[in-house]
Amino acid sequence: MLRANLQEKHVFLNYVGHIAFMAGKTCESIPLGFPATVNSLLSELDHLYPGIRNMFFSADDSFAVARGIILRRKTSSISITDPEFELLPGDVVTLW
Amino acid sequence: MFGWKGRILRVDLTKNSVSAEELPEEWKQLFLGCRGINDVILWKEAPPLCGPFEDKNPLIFGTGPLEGTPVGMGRISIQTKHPQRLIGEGGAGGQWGPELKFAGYDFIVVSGRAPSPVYLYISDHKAELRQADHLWGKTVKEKINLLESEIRLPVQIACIGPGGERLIADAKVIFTGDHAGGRGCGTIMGFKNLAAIVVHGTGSVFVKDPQRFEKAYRTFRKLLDLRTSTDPYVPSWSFMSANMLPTIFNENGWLHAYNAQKGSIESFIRGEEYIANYVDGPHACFCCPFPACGRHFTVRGGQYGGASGNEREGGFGLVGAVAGITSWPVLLKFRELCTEAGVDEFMIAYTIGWAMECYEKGILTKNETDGLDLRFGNEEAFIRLVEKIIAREGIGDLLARGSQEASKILGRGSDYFLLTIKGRELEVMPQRGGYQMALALAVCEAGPDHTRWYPPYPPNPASIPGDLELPFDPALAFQMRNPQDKGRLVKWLYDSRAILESLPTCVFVIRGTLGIDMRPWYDLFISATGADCSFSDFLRIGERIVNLERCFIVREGFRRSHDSLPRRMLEDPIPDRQIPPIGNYFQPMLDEYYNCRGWTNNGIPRQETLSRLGLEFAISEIQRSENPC
Repeated sequence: MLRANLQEKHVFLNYVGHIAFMAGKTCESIPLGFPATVNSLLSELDHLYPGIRNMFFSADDSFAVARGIILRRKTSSISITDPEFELLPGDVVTLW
Repeated sequence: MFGWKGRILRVDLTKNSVSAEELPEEWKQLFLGCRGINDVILWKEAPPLCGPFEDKNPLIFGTGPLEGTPVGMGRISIQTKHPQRLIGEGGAGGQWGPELKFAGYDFIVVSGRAPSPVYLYISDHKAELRQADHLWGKTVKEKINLLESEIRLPVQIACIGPGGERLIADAKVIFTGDHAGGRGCGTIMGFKNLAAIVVHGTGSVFVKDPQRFEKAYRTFRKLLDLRTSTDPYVPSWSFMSANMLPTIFNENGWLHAYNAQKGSIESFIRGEEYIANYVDGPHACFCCPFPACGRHFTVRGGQYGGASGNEREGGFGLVGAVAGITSWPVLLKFRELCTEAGVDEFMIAYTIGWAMECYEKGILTKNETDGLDLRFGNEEAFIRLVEKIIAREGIGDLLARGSQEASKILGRGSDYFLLTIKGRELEVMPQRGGYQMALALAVCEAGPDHTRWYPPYPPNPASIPGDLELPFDPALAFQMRNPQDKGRLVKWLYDSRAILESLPTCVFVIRGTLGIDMRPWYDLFISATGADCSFSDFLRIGERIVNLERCFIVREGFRRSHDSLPRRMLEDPIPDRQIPPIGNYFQPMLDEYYNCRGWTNNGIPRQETLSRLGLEFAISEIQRSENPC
């Protein structure tokens, strides 16, 4: 039961290309406090991999202009263009 | 002369003769070079009465004014009338194109057919045909090794493998370093008994205004800086090239998994795994700013241990999805087999994917597959079938014709599972996941060639400079599954890429605003050549090239009905990502494309369109053309 609860509060991450080099791995699952957004996820990741958040915000604070984020939720995928997009437990987020 | 060398090498294989002629000034002004000038040669020398497998069908190797400069990236264009009567055209990188310029030629036009195998040897303004019986039947690697040891000079080699010799559909030309291009051109080269073209050149390419050219080149490189580029592909490409695509395609549901029945595969290959375990080092094209784009690979140990080669489209691993293959060693063995035989990975993999679906649905039986269990994901059967196709052995002889021809012979409703457009197999690009890609593939004059409109999207609208006037709305065009504005976007993609492929440069460096702002390219062109060409004339060249290509296939009988998509893309959803079929969205997108092109609703350029573009010479032939294929 405890394991199930933990899984429910995780998001799964794919790191691709240069992001994988930054993270030193290609995928992982991390716990996240919900409600959570893409923005808060990136802040959380920035503690683990300093500088990663800045990869997704340009100097004028535009979001994901020069990077890609794909979100998969069950059987649908979308490209994320809004940093305040709300995440749900179990989401698969691909950063590249 | 600046940029161009100004010379065409004419080779008549029937007469066993070579000669040089001047490159007409008018062609340079109207069609630039490379793909554009290849088009006008093909238009003039391959009329409808000339079948693909006739001696007169020319095989053209073209470079352009920026070839031999750092912008050219070694790109060349190979062109012929394709066995499906399309424009058989494909580009390749490497070092062969610059070497041809350094040897003093912009173009080689090969006509006729040799009675026995020959190869063409070019060395600094001199050329001759040599007997090549000893090369015939050899793999690409063997041919190149034999020629290098025979000539004992630094040379660049273009050759065919056994695939071209055996007239396998869509066979390619392979260059030194395993650079490859020209789907179908290798087949015609094999028909002509031309085994190879060996080039040795010690000359140079001069630019008109070196200081201005250097400044323009620095601007160009700055736009590709991985720290400041506005394109997410730039940093990814800088590190690992197309190898990020398997994960991106899989997450988006864009794979043609199991012959496009699905869009994703659980535990699909990852590019990072390939880089970590199989790559020995980089292997780039001439002056490429993305040296990670090409690599040498080796499989160490295991069933396919020893497989090795060079590749620069790590995305080739994506084709495994169509047959359900998710193992790098298997895919690298596949790559090695295809390169050594000079056959096309897309044609082979998609034809096998089609055969696998036919097998699983009971249309093909085990008796007809020479006992192979052609279930999706059967790695041994996959590799064995590739070998059989290359050898044209058993069922391999049927599949060596390509899936569409094989389906015509097999019948039994197998055509429903074809993933072909105008008779040619797809090249991994998604359709249901990106409507601009669907439209662009459908209307392509060379079959579903993804490089003629690549990259397929504008940059994120938020990154586009406000002073840039575009003929499409980037906010709408950026939306992948919104049919609006896709016609205008696709027209822009085709026209701009036609210019760039005629300069030439590599489509994979057209990143960020370089894909939508043609001013840096114009500056490079003018500073290199000193050509008397306004910016608006420069832009019009691309539209002219695409219209001439359209005229070519219209003259061969192609019409609106051929500008279509595989039925699966129009009718079937991608169930694992809830992506609907394109359905009724397709025809309005096609209407918009034809309208903004100035074509009839049957896909034929109007007289006023051709006049506006200086293509009056094509008008009478288009009006006479009443022979739908």
